[in-house]
Amino acid sequence: MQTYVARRLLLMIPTLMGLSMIVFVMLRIVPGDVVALIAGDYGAVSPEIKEAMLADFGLDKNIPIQYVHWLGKIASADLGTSLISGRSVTSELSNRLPVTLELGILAMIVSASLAIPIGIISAVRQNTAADYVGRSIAIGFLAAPNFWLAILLITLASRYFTWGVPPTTYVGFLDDPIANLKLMTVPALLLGTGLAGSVMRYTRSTILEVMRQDYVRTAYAKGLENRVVIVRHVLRNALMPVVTVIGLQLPVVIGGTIIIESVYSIPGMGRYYISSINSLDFPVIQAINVVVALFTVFSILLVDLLYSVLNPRIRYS
Amino acid sequence: MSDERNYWQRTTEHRLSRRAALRGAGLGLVGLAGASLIGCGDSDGAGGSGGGGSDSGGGTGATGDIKRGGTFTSNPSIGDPPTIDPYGNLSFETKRIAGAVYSRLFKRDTWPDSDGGETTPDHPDVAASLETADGLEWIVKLNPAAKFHNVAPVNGRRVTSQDVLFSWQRLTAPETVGSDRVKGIGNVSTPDDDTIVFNTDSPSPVFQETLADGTLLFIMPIESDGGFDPAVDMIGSGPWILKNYEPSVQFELDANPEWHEAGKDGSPLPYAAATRIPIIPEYSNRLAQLEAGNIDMLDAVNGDDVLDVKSRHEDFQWLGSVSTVQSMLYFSNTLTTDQPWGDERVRQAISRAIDRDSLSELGYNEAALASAGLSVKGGWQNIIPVGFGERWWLDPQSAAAQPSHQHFVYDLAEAKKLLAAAGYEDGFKMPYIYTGRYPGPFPPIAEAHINMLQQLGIDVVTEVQDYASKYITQTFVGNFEGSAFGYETPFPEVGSYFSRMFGDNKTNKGRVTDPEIDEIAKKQAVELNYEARKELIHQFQKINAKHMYYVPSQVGAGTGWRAYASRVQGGIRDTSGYGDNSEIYPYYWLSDS
Repeated sequence: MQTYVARRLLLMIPTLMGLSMIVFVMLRIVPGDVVALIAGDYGAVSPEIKEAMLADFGLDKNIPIQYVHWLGKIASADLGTSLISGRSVTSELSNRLPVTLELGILAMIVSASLAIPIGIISAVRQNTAADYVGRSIAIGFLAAPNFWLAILLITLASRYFTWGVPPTTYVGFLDDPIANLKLMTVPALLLGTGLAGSVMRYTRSTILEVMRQDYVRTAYAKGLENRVVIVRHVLRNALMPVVTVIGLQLPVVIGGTIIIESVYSIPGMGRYYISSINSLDFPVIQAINVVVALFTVFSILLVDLLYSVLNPRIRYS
Repeated sequence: MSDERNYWQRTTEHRLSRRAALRGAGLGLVGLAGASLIGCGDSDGAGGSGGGGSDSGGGTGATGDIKRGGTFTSNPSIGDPPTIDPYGNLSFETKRIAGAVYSRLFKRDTWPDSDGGETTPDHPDVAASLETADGLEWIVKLNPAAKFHNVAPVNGRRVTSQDVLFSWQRLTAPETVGSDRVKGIGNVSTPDDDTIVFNTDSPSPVFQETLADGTLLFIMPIESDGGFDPAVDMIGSGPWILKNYEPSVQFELDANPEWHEAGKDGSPLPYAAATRIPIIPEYSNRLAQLEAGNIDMLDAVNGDDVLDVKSRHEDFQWLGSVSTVQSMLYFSNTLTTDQPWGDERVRQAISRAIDRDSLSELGYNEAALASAGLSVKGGWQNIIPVGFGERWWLDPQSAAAQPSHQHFVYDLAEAKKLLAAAGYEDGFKMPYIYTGRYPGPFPPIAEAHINMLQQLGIDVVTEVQDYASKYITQTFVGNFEGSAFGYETPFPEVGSYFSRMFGDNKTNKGRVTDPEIDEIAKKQAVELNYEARKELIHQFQKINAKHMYYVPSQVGAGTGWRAYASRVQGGIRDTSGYGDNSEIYPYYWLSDS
């Protein structure tokens, strides 16, 4: 197992490097001019000032040199400095990443808590009213864009239940859990329900597939109770692919936070990401991509390791 | 409003809080009795004239009623400033917060009975006086009462001419983007601690206006050169002291107890004990916060929402005003292209195919608001925006705009004749570019243009561009092909529009050079007589209208709405530019404080 984990960790390095290279190069070939953006609507920057700014940003060198320079900084855990604010990206992300992670984890908890029970009920009671309701809920969750639901909820709250309007300020969970959850609960529900639709449908179909297996028929033939067959024989096997789906939702969650954080005014990484994209703030975009890629490859590893917990027959060597 | 203690501290202090609560209950009864004596501010706007200015319907600001204290939660920012160093970038978010903390030499006069600086002269800030004999040498004397905040390392010391000189050097440093806006002011000297002498290259009618501009000269202490980092901290001499900036969350500022300005009754300003600026990017959230009572004011309430919100909150105070935002259609290489839009008859036809009244209705919900009794203002944009009012704007519908006013009048048949006369009876294909970034009335008006151009017979090829990668960095500076629709920055000084859209400026997006306009630009820049300068500005508008180099459209031409909670008193009003935090908010007081 340890060898397997070590090998996987080593394999992450070329993966991350390849991804960072693609992001780095793509950012530099898209049309746009960060100096012109900094000048904003005023627009007029003399060529001398522009050259000085480009040199200051390190953008006057060719792309391979820029990349090597950036990689060197990353190796020493320095994610660079924002071109726009001049602030350290590492420091900025260290404040924002926990906020987004909290939102993401809450959303995934909501997603799993809703999706798995409804998916199980829907499969076990296939083609009954419960199944139809469950499937309708899943399609509803999938179909309703969470940014639209978010705006709708805020608007309705302002009209009919002002206590539901989110606070204007973010407070950390450790500072004030109640104030924190007052802001984070609804966004987590919105993100979570958006994720739940696909997990719910996936849970249902894998359970149905497992229920058609011979060993399940055998279990029933032995006279085991329905509950025992479902819990002991079906779920354990059916949940393996579901865990994979949930584990791979992390990048989707982070993508979702971009909108939700903006709508609910949550000072997380998603909001930082979108503002950096709007301002072509290369170091920030690159850093966030690396962080997201890191979380993605780690979540894939975690999912793989969970397989062996869920199915003891799987051994890694 | 905010409680500095965290949850755990509050929980452990519960016993003390109960005792404090009992004490507070007694005070609360006294407070209620006091509150009953306070008259509420009038709601809604009333009256108003066409063109610029604002429509105040708030409390009168009668000094006898003024209550001190409380936290005024002002209009939320829509995003973080890139940096809080006002010389570090040109973001309006930076300028806005800088205006709260740093003083200027002058500012717009926005006393409760003024009209937001539209016609009244500028008001001294840390300056005490301004003298000039010839319009070339300008002597500024500083107000001896002006002191920096009582914060290390400046510790409340006086503002001196050395601080002004230091700030001027920062503004004019080559690396400061925007330094070109003061390039006409050559030499600055400081004969003593109280005096600064500015020398301009030529007589300047806008010297004081330039120094009063809420985006240019912020007075920083010389200690900001090493004593503290202005990119992460702000220490100035303005009405508010920066207490805390939480990125993407809020700015918290305390009132400066030693601010050099006093109310008309002689009592110290600001009246509120603190102000808070939350950062809320999403409009629906900002509106919800206003309705829930979490913020005291909201700027740019959509015209479609005004009546709805008003019906639920009859106590809200509304301020309608027209901004100095310009919007227009512009064309690639207007004078040198061999494309149809190089012919002025085609551009005139395009202007005549634009139904400006319909666009105003679409963008600003004018008819419904007017029929509900709100004072709806505005007009047709000229190359100088409506928001400048009669001071500079030439109303295209007025007799003074003759004869070029005809090109503003919607007349599709006449427009088609012009197109045919130019040899394009069967129309032509034309790219039409705009960005999806701008909110409010911009998107519907941008889309309505497409239909209007198609009705004229133009085969419109629409491209909605990304703001960062394409629009502002390419199209906005003239690197495009076809036509485009966009904003022009709302400059507080009218002369800026000449250099922005004509001549050799990089932002001359249509690449338009007209010797007649160049001549007027030179003359108006040195014309000290207001009436004579106004005539030149009007001539400028007539020449553009005649050739339709730029085709003005209606974004920015309607009434924008700002809503205030009923507790905000002091005569609600607006100011041009970004100076609200020092020009208006110190004078507001809260009836329930």
